[in-house]
Parts: sequence; structure tokens; C-alpha cells
Amino acid sequence: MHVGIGLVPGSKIKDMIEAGFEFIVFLADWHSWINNKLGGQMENIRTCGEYFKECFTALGIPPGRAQYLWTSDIAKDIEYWEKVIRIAKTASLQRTWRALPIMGREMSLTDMETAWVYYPCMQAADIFQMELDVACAGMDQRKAHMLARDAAEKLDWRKPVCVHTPLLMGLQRPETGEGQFDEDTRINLQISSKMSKSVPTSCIFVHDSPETIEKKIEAAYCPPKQAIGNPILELAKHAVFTEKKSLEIPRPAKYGGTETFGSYKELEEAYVKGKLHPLDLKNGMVEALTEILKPVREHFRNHPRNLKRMMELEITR
Amino acid sequence: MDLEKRISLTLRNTAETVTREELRVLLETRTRPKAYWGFESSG
Repeated sequence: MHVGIGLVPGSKIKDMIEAGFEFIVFLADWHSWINNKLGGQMENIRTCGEYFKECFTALGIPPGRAQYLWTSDIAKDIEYWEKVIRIAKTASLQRTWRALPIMGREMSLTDMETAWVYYPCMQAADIFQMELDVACAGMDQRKAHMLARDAAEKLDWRKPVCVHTPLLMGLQRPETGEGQFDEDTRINLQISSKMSKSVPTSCIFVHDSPETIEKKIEAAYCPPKQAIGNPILELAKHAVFTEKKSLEIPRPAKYGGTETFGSYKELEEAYVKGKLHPLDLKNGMVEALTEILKPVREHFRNHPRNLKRMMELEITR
Repeated sequence: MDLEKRISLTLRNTAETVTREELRVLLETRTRPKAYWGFESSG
């Protein structure tokens, strides 16, 4: 699990629990199977789901604060599948296809799995089967939610409110998107440059050691005096200030001494004006992330089983 | 917790909410609404 999942959804889930929501962390094992994650092997997918649950628990969302449910739990009910079909009957194949997360590749019909069409319909059915008031996701999932809202209107079901979070940029220099994920250029750029496990240098994992965090941040793209398209500032905004009230920048006295920023806005202003050097920003970010992720490292030091199994799966893939 | 605080907690650090008006009505009428986030297992 990288910080784009552990800390962006993680902090939003905590906000919403605090705001009084009953929250379900849904471990989508069947969806992962359809999307051929982890070799499409259900046993591996379940291991990964358990690992996710441990990561979120360590980050402050233990069972008890939130409910953990698997697709398998709700897919046992025949009514779930009735909803899947009802939703599928409200939408054209073209519409459903556009809502697929498996996108961005020019594919011929012969390379596409029929199973993929079920995915957005199941995503929508999940919402109605669990009788949710609010569906949360990153911006890359908004089309499936819009499909659910349209289906709700047609079927006279309760329409879910949808809350979407920004996608955290990968650590590398951002790509210029080709319009393959979304017609909206801005959203497309976000999706194509997001932190992704398939680009290992783009990611900080929630279980990374302090040395690894340091190495990755040091190597990250961080253009001086520039906030837009700067992955380190994005990380500060979406993964540090959401978890901490301030960011401390350690700095030798000859360069101005240690400085503490109480908000992202203050940090960005100082950075854009050139009052904060990229290297100093990076040093502060290494310390902040190392501290925020400490409970995850401690958990896996004491309970290494599922992390170890995940690492083995990565190697054999 | 008062309504405005619950709304601002839900909305902070988000990219979009569809719709804000519906969220307000929901939080006005329900003390414990139900929400979810789905995650694919991909390591």
C-alpha cells in the first residue's frame, strides 16, 4: 500500500468518522479478481486485503472505528446479483465501458474480457446493497459513481452523495497525458501522473523503512520555486498536512535555522518565493513521513506475516 | 459536533463532492449516515 492510499483515503476516512459517519472499509476481493490483480488468484487477493486492513488499523482506523467488509460477504446474497443486473439494464455498454477502471490502453475486442463489464455494475451495486448514503473514492473512480447515481434515478433508489479526493502524484516528473483516461485534460493529467505501484520509483509505501523513505524523497522531482506539478509539495499538502497540524523544516543555523509551517498555504508561499530550498523541504518531508508511518512499521515488526507474504508475491510475479 | 463543523470535516482536502447540497441535507437529517470506500487488493 502506497501513501496515495494509506494517507489520502486514510485521513479522509478518519475525518468522516469524526464527523459522525458509520464507515465501511470495503475490501473488493471479487473486483480485484475481475481486474486480474495479483495474478487473479483469490488466495493472494485475500492476503493483500488482510495486509490492507492491518495498514489502515495501524494508521488509526481499527475495526471498531470502521467496519471491514469484503465483496465476498455481500456477494453471497442473491439480491446483490439482482441489483448488478438491474443496474446493467439501465446503462448502455458504451457507458459502462467508459466507467471501467481498466482503461488507458487501446485494445481490440479480442483482448478484452467480458468479465470487465461487470466491474462498474458491481461497484454501483455495492453502494445500494450496503445501503450507503455516501460513496468515497479517488477522482479516477468518479465515472462509476456517476453510473450509480444515474442508475439510482432510473430505478428510484436512494442516490448516493459522492465524495472524491485528489490523486496523489507520483514522485517522478509528471507525464503529459494523452487523453486516454478522461476527456477532461486536468483529470487525465492527474490520473496519468498518479502514484502507482506499477511504477515503483513513483511510490512511498506505508511500510517503507526510514532509509527507504529518505532515498526515495531525495531522488524525487522537486522543481525550485514551483508548486504546480511538484510531487513533494503535493505530498506535503495531501499526505502530511492532512495528518499533522504543522511541518517542521530542520535547517542549519547558517541557512536560517529550523522553521515550522503551520499550514500548507504558508509552506507553499515560502517555497514559491524561494525562501525554502528544495533540499530543506525534502529533509522536512522525510522526517514528517517517517513519523506518520511509524505505527505501520511497528505493527509489521511485531506481525510480519502478511507483509512478508505480500513481498514474496511481488518477487514471484 | 455542530453541522457546519461536520460539513467542513467531510469536505476538507477533497477534489469534488456530488453534490454539496445533498451532503448538507444528509447531515442535517441524519446523525449517523453510512459511508464507504472500496479498495482493490493490489499490494
